[in-house]
Amino acid sequence: MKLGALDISTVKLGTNQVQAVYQGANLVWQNAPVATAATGVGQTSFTANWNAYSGATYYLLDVSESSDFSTFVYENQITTSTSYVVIGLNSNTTYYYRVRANVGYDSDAQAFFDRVADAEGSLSTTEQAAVNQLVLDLKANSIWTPMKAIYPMVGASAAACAQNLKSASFTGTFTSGGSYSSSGYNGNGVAHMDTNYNVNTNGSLNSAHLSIYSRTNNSGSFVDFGANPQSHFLTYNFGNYSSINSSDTPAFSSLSTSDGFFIGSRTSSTEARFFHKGGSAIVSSRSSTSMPNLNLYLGGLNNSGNRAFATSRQYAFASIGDGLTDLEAGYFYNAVQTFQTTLSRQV
Amino acid sequence: MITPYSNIISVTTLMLPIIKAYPVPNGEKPYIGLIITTPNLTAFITSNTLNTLKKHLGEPIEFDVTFPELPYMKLPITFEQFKSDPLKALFFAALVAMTALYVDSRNQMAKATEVCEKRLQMCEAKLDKLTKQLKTQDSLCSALVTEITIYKSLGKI
Repeated sequence: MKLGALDISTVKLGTNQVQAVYQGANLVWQNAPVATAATGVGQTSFTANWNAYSGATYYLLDVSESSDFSTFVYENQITTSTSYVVIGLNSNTTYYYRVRANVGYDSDAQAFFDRVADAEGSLSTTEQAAVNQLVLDLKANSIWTPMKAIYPMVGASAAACAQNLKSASFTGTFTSGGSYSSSGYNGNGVAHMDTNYNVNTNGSLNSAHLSIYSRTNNSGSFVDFGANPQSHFLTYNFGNYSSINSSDTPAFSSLSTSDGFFIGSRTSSTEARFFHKGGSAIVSSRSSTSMPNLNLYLGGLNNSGNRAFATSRQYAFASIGDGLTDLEAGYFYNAVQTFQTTLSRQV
Repeated sequence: MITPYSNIISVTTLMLPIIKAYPVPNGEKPYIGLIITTPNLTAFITSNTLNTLKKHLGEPIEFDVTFPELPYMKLPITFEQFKSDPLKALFFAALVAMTALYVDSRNQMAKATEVCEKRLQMCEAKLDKLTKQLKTQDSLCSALVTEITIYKSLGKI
């Protein structure tokens, strides 16, 4: 077969190389799925179609107005089906789509699925796809390593929500009720999850972060995630500030919402940073002092061993780990937001 | 493992319908009509939804256009039957004429009724007005009688 002056049938392939072949008039990668013509074309929507790919666990769909995909209408839209209804488009406009297949699961994601199953929890194929892609995105942006505990809050049960994606350590323990759904864990004003992560034992004074994805916007004197004294917590009083390893009074006071993705991070001894919904860093010059010798609680504050400031908010994600830079926090937000969007629970 | 990208498929979404409204010619019987044009069809519709649609002129609007089948009226006799039996044909023609006259008389009656109702409303309005004026005059008359009585009792007249 000729490709310009090159006869590609004579090209010898290496281990990680792929071969391009003609299918009809289209030149396609031999080990890639084959997209087929759109159906159900309307004024603002169409259905993208492709052939099933052997061994695929899910597909990643891109839609763009440009044939080189320099911009995206949809990027890495995850679906376990071989078609996807693309909506919210402009009329009389040409769009392009392409698809990739994910074969199997990342070993860390698979280990998490196994832990959920061992705990007698269960995950849907969409949840598995979302978790797998989250792991891949975190690894691709070098923010998998800084993580010490990741709670994806999937599986609609205490057994599944308590599992740590990063490792078999720090499995959560829920206390005093709460409820569990496909949208995550919902506190009830008295319940919390003990992460079994002792900050002083496992953390680093000047490199630490906490994150939560709250789906509830309500005001009140609540703490979403943390331990005290020697403050180490994320969001207090309507989500307007956090403190990472500092006994000084935090200075953040610009937010008036408690929903969305919050990150509190410290990467130096002289300042901590706070991020909300992927926005710019809010910087606090509070110096680090010490770490609490206590387990972190989710949905409340571990105040010297007693739960305090418990919330009734719904949590769709939480993480504990090393400090994140502004750039890493941005990547982290994108990965988690994609994860939530795949599960239709983004805010 | 994630595979390379598939081939690229292009797709063009449909145009929105273009709505054009035509003005009613002066002096003609008011008649409302719209031309709906889409890439796939052109349809002329008469509709009571004009007011709704007018609000959206120049804006994107999506709605369904239905094409009811035109009623097909079958004649009671064929042309061949007409030729073979003129008496029946004349009877049929008379029947058609009578029907037309009946329909026309109904229309005339409806129009006459409408005119009468309007005139009746006008008469009722005039009657109300006259009744009010009469009451005013009656009150004025009573006041004058009282005034004259007072003048008499004072010996002024």
